[in-house]
Amino acid sequence: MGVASLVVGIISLLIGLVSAGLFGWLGGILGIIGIVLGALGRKNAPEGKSGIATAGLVCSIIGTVLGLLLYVACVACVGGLAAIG
Amino acid sequence: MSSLGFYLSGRFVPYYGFMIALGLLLNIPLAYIQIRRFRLSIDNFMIICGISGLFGILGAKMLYLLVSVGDLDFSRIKDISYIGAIMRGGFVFFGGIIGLFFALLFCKRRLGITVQPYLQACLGCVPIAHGFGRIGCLLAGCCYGIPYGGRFSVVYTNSGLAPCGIGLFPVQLVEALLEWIIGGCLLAFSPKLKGNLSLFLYLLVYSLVRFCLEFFRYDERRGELGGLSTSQLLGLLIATFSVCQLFKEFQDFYKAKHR
Repeated sequence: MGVASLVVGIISLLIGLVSAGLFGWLGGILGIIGIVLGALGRKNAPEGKSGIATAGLVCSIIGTVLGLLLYVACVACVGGLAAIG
Repeated sequence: MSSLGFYLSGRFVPYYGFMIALGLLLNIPLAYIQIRRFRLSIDNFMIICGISGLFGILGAKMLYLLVSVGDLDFSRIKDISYIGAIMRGGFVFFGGIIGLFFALLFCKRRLGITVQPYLQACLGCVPIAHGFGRIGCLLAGCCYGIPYGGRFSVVYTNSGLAPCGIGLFPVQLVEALLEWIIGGCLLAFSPKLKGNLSLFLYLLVYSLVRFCLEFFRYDERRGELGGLSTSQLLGLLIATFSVCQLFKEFQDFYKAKHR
């Protein structure tokens, strides 16, 4: 779980940093998956061996913030259909 | 007032995204305080939040696509930039709530996490964040109200979404204020609202609030069936379901008290 979280977290971080708006939603979704995997990893890891899961969790949180909150911003009501049509 | 956003260091920041981000950022310390107050596990909390977020996004997006299916161009469905445009398009909040239900079921059944105490502690954060989103709507000019010339009416002068130059009822602001009141009450009384009481009370009150406020909305593409909008129909369904569940909860409390 911890390694998976780290991998997914790094990918979401890269998407958030590099791709900006276009794939921001993908970075956000991957980041959330990373957060779930990281928290599961921390929960199930033996005492004092949750380092990788914690690193994955941190990367995922930053990736989610970059991807979802800063770049996908547009969202909701804002002229959604105009973009689709 | 208003175009769709503002510029920060040369980068366009839409109001809605900015306000949602602000609401979520303010909610993080609030949720943390509640988790500590109820002595709950922070890892479990993050798992529940993450899964709720995923299912919520999925539900809200699916319902939005369902409502606006006529506007989709299926011939471009394999185009990645078109998929990106759809993903950035829009969400329907009630779809998110339906997704949230499935998320909580998933956490309980598949991961074995008892979600009740987490709901009891942090449910109030949801309407608070949603209220910030509504302020974003007000600033951007979407989800606007009916023409109205009385006190507190809003006149847009530069909006690509709302009609410009006429007074509109500030329905977004009213909804935001009501959401904050609901959120504040849920947080304040959370230790007293045992079981799933807080969840069903929130769903009932919000559904009713939304049902009423929909009559004051003037924006198009609301989806309509039998004179009611999609949100009103869903609101009625959720309110009925919540009343049944509340009745069941009260019955259980009554039985437990008199056993």
